[in-house]
Amino acid sequence: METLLTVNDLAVHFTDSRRGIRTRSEALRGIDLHLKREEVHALVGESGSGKTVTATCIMGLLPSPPGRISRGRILYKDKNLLTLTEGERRQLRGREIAMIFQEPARYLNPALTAGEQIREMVALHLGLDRRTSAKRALDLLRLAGLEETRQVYRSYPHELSGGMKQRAMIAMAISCRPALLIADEPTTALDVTLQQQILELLLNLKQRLSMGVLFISHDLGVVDAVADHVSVIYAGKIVESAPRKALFASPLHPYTRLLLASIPDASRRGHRLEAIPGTVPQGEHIPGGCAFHPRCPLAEEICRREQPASRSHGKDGHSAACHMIGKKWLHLSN
Amino acid sequence: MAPLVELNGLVKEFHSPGLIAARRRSIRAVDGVSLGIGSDSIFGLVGESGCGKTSLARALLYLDPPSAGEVRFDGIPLGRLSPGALKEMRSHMQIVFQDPNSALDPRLRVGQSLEEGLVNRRVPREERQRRVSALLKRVGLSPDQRSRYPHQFSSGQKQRLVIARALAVEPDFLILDEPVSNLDVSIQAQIINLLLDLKRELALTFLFISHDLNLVAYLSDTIAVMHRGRIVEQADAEELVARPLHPYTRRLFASLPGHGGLDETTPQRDETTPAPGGPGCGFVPACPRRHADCLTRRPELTDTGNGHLVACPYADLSNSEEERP
Amino acid sequence: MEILSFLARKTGRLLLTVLLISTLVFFVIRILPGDPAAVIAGIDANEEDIRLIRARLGTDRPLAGQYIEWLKCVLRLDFGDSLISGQPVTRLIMERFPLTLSLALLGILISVLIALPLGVLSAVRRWSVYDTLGMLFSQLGMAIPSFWLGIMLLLLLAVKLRLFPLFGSGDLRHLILPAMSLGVARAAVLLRLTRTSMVEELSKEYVITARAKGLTERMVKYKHALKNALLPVITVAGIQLGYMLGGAIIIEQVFSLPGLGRLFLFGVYQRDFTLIQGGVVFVAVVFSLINFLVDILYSLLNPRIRVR
Repeated sequence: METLLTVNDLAVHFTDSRRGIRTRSEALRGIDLHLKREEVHALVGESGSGKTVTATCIMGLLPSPPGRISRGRILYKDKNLLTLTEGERRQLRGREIAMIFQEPARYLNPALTAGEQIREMVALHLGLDRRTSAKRALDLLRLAGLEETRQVYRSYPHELSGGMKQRAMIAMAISCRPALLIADEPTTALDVTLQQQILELLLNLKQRLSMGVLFISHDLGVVDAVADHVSVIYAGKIVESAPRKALFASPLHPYTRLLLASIPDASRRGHRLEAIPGTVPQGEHIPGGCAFHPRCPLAEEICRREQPASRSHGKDGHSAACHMIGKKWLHLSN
Repeated sequence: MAPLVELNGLVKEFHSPGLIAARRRSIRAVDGVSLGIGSDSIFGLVGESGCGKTSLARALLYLDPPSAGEVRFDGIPLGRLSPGALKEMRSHMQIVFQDPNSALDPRLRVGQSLEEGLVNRRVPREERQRRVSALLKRVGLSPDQRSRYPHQFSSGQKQRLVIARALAVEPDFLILDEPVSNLDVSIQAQIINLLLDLKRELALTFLFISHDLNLVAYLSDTIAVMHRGRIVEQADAEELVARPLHPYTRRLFASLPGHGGLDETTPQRDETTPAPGGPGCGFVPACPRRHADCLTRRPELTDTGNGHLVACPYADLSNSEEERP
Repeated sequence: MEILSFLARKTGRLLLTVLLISTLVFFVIRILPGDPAAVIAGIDANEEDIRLIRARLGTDRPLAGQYIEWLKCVLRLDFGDSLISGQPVTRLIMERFPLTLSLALLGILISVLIALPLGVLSAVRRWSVYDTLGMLFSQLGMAIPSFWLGIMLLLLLAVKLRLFPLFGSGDLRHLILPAMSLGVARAAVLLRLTRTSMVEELSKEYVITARAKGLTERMVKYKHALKNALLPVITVAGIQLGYMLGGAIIIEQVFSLPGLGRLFLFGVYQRDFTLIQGGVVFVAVVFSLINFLVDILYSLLNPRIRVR
């Protein structure tokens, strides 16, 4: 399968001048990603880890006064997106690279009907006239699993349920048959039963339209259900990357392992959860060396001094950035 | 032994405003709920958004008095108490809500927020200071942080503060309404562990409300499943997890990510759901086991043996393979 | 059906407002100490004259009766005759209303034409030269009294340059200067509001979606953001129109325009009670009507208010 996206050593920082003091916070500190057609690559991380910034950069929507790309390349079909002009990037947006967001209520324009918000995109990118684009919009709504398409077309976002809004947003995103779809926490705000429907819809569409999906989430359960490949991001760096099965069966990085061990479910009844002490470091206060070392039960002197490079382990593209791989855990139930 | 908290036929109706009586619509957020929470236990209430779980919590505490039915705490019916007695009773029952960011008054120092309940009960100043320090330490924060403002804390720390505030008046019973839903995964585990430690140390009883089935399955002693204002299934946690009987419960389990794909219990589209409180079973639009009389006859919770209650006459009691999640 | 009930509610509110205002006007005049008839008659009047005037006013009858009579008149839009000129109040008002209406409409038009484009420009190019100029204009506009501006415009454009006529009310040319004086002051406020509203909308999440869809910046700003940003601006513009329709008294004086403002002003000077009564009710009705229309317009633009 064709490789759609390759991200090399992407680094982003934000500068903030408040009361004359300039602070610089590192949102991304050099990340690598890759994505092929018909593949779902999940980017997993907690809030503040940099996952949304990654999506924003790929879309070319990083707000440039506070944000700045320090280094790196984003290759889409072998074109470096960072070297394109704004006009060229805009042409790609929606047409080849599309995005869906977390809270459809906020991310849809309340003053326009759902149908119009889809139609305008199709009309613009595909050069269709009003009637044709309207019809196309109706077809897209059906493709997204909605039945009363005419009704939904005419409705304003606040008249639609959460699930319908999200489907409308999906219809919008796939409207021009993009090759790459970025999904930023698309099911986080939805109920569990709806969540499953939407995930299935996304997988379905992925096959049908032969898209590559970059799936951003903090929910490992959801990731387990949809991903082909998983990258775990912590404090602006990818700490582990592996095919889904390998990541869940034999996680290497302590953060990944602790994360998996801290999720409650019925099978853990009676056992204490492995809570990671402390909090995720924010952009201005990232610890030196390995960013995770203050919270890591395996940390040693080298972890404080030196940032671990990402290294391959075994076959099948399983890599992790940690000095302590192979060190024995004492009490971790995994 | 009598349960610590008892609900009998609890109903909570909301009326949408209208000048003409005919156009006024009433919605039964809680539609006849009866349950008992034993002392020292964790009662888990699981349901999706809109099922009425928050309304239930508020009605239970008489924050929004119920439209019908009764609530008994330690055998005493709350509805019969005078306002003064009810206020006194409140120090036994407290609630922790979902969003720590809006639960704390941003204009008060956190020490002041924590001691509010004590001020109301006329606890003398020195005693209040002592208790606030002790509370902060107990939830894992430092007593010197009492003079800070909420915005100076992280979400996880704020939730700890909210828990501390609830514990200030030394309640016996704590309702937790989605206490960790807004928190990052690694912080969730910290708060869960904290809650369990506190429960043990202070001999608390919990009503734990959440939409997260996994979490409820992990924590609870008893689980009740709520759908459109009604309890549709209730059993000991392990029993429910091993043998979910109600079609809705099964669908919840099947929907957990990673539990298998489309099956008979998954509807193909969004349910357009009528308002709760009507005749018949609320799950009809999406139920794979529906029969003709499900539309007219309201299913009652019946015991299928060993305390496993189900509100569905057509539930598959044999728990056959084809539908097991 | 929902739309009908919405309209019904709004109309009901309108009627209720009119009723309340009429009642208030009625009682204020009669509760104030002093006999209006005596005041009207003057210091030297004798008992006979006062009694005659009282009979004409109707103040010698019991209060409840007077009130009913008053309400009936209001419904018929018959406010009696002016005590000074003897002409029917309603006719006096209607003669002058078209002028005031034209002035107000022109004033609002000018202010919107100035404020909207400049406000949007300020918002879109924040902290740029345009923005600074816009904010400066806004500050000045709010600080400068409209009558001063009016006089300046008169001096410059009418006297010195002879571009516009000095006074009179014949045609449109007579209205331009006064409308500008009114309009510029209002524009200052609207400009600031437009800017703030636009900035706020541009920072909302749906704008991110619009950009992510690859829409042109123009579409993002005007089709998406502006549509939402206009809502508060329209409301305020409507209220300003309402004020102007009550008669821009000072401007009318400066430009010697025979509008409603001057009419009511002289009515007050001359203690022309019936005129004042009628005037107050009229202005209140007009203002409520404007609010009513603004509400409807708002609901047309904001789908969320529309049906619920």
